[in-house]
Amino acid sequence: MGFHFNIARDDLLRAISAQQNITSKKGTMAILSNVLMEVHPENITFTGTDLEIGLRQTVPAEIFEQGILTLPAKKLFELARESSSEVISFKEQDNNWVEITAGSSLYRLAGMVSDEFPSFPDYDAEAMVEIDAAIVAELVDKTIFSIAHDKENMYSLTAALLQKFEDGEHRYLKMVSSDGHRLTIMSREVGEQVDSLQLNPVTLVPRRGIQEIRRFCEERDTVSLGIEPKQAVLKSDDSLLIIRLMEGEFPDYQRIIDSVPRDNIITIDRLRFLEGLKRINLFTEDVFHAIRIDIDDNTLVLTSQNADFGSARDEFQVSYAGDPLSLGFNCRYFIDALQVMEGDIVEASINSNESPCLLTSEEDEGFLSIIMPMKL
Amino acid sequence: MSDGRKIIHVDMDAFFAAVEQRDRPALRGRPVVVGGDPRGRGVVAACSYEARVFGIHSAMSCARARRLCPEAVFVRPSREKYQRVSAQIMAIFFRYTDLVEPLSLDEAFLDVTHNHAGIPSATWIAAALKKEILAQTGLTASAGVSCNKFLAKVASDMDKPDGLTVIRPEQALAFIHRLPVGRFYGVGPVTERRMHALGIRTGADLYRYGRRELVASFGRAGEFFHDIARGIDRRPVRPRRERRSMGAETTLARDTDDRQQMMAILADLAGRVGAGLEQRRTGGRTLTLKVRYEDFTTVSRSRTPGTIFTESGDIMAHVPALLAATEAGRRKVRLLGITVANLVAIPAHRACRQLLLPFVPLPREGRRDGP
Repeated sequence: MGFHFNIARDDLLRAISAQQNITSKKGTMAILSNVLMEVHPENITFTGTDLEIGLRQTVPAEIFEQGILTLPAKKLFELARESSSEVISFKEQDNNWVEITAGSSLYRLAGMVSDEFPSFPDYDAEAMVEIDAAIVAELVDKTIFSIAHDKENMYSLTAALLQKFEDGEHRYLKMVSSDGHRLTIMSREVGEQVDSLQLNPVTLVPRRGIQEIRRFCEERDTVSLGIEPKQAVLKSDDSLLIIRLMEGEFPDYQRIIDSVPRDNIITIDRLRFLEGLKRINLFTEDVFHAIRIDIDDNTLVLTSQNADFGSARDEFQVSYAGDPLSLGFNCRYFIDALQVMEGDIVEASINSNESPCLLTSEEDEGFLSIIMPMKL
Repeated sequence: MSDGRKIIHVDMDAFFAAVEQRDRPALRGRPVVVGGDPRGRGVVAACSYEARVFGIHSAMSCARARRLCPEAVFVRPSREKYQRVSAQIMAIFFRYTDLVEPLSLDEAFLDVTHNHAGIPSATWIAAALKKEILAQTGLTASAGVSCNKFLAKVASDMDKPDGLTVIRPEQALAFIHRLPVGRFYGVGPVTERRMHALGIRTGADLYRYGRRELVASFGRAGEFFHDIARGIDRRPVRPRRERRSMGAETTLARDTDDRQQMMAILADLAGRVGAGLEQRRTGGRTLTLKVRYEDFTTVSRSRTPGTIFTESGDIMAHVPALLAATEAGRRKVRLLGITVANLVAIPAHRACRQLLLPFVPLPREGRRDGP
């Protein structure tokens, strides 16, 4: 009667913790908060989805009886997390009940039949290319923070844009994100295998999908990536992640980059700048985190003011030969960008308190950040 | 019943039409309708007394007005001119008192209990106002004088045009009791129908209802109806009416189901509202989108996201979602409007404004994948 197997607690915990990020919590369809467990002769497949993102994992186990059933992902995750025994045993009972034994603990967990569980999307395994997981992770880490959070802005800004381009012999993957106030770009050189990667005219990966891609790259050396008209596919030996892509247009960011003149440059010690910003941020107002940056004759002064607490000021040397500038900014935007940027020296191009500020570093070639000022 | 106040309500007679007749002698004595194109979809903004004889009144469609009176002269409104004349008239009011509450370009309440000239007779002041308005602008006004706003307004309407009516406190009840409820402040067509259904047709009928019964039927407005039926109206004359909201709306030249066109129009409206907010250094907590479909049914969709709307960008960020929550596009739309309400002044230290990246609207083709 139904499945019966033993599974290593750590294997179960690893699989189910990834699943419970994805399975729906909102309860639009009860079955979506469950994970589908398909017990095969050699292993078990776990499948979870919220209809936007789907994750399928194959986990080794000691199988006694095959079977198929769905169980609540969150409860399963908590159960595995609290369990101290090395092996956890699952035995299906009548009426979709599952008896779970973990050391001295015995649980009875109510499952649901798999009939209503959505079918997992097909994908084109031929169209996938292998890619260094660290490269994908870096693309994500350096752009994810400026993806728009909600649908307040242009809808497509709640996704990151994925592109590829060639420069001579070199090939690059590029990720772009913007929340309408700032724009971040990261490009990384990749091998010639990406020549066979087919991107869409506009490939938009929603914010949550980007988060899952980042998790997927954790603890893996390489991943296979495929982009299809409606979905992005990531694959490793034992896991498969499918993300529904967003439809839409992405703004013409290149025009904004081109519009920033690169002749008025402030050269700044990145870590010193970051330290100063973090201190000054202690005295900003919530929400806007407004700070003032005054630059005159190689001296940069940061000031902030908080109506309830008081004010803060920090000053350090930079290299700047242009006219004095007095600028307002959201402090967080600079912190976000400088934190992920690499290199000791950052170059900031800015012309006025109303024009975009462009941040680059010679030591982090693919990275570019544009931050719009704040009118104080 | 009377708290000894002396309130004047001044209402210009057929203001827009009168200004046009004043400036264009050829229009004098003829039915004049100020408003939209009678072949188009505009409505009557104002009409001369000669036009009213034919049954034309404001807010009627111009097409209907033309059917009622084919010989009427249709004039497009010139708001700036009316504003200039209005400013002249308001200046006359302020010579007598600072307590002037303009209701629109052509209408205002004045509290002359304590006036600059030290004149004890409000009736005398009302007559003087009318005389000065005529002398300076060549236009006639009707004035009502009484002990509160409600009665003053009723009075100004008693003897139009060029009237001057005084309702003394001791006459007030008799006046109110004869008055049809439709003429009461705050009683629109819907409330009027509901009152009629309850057998309330005049002030006297209303007077017979208790406070509790009226509140049960009409909510908070019931309190007010109960009081004014007794001649009690304590609303002060508010010199500068505080703005509660800032909005703009427009009737489209043609009904449309093209969402892109709607978005372009909404962007324009948002720009106007945003400019108004910036100019007054205010922001609003609530954004409302108003949509009128081709069959004149009107819906509105609101959002109070917890942030403050201070400029057009803030507004436009929410407009697509609000529009998507209507049937615009699936149904044709004839009017669009944007209002920001729950206004709050922006304190100086919060007035900082995050600028937006200057993204240009996207062309359909021609994006590039450059480095």
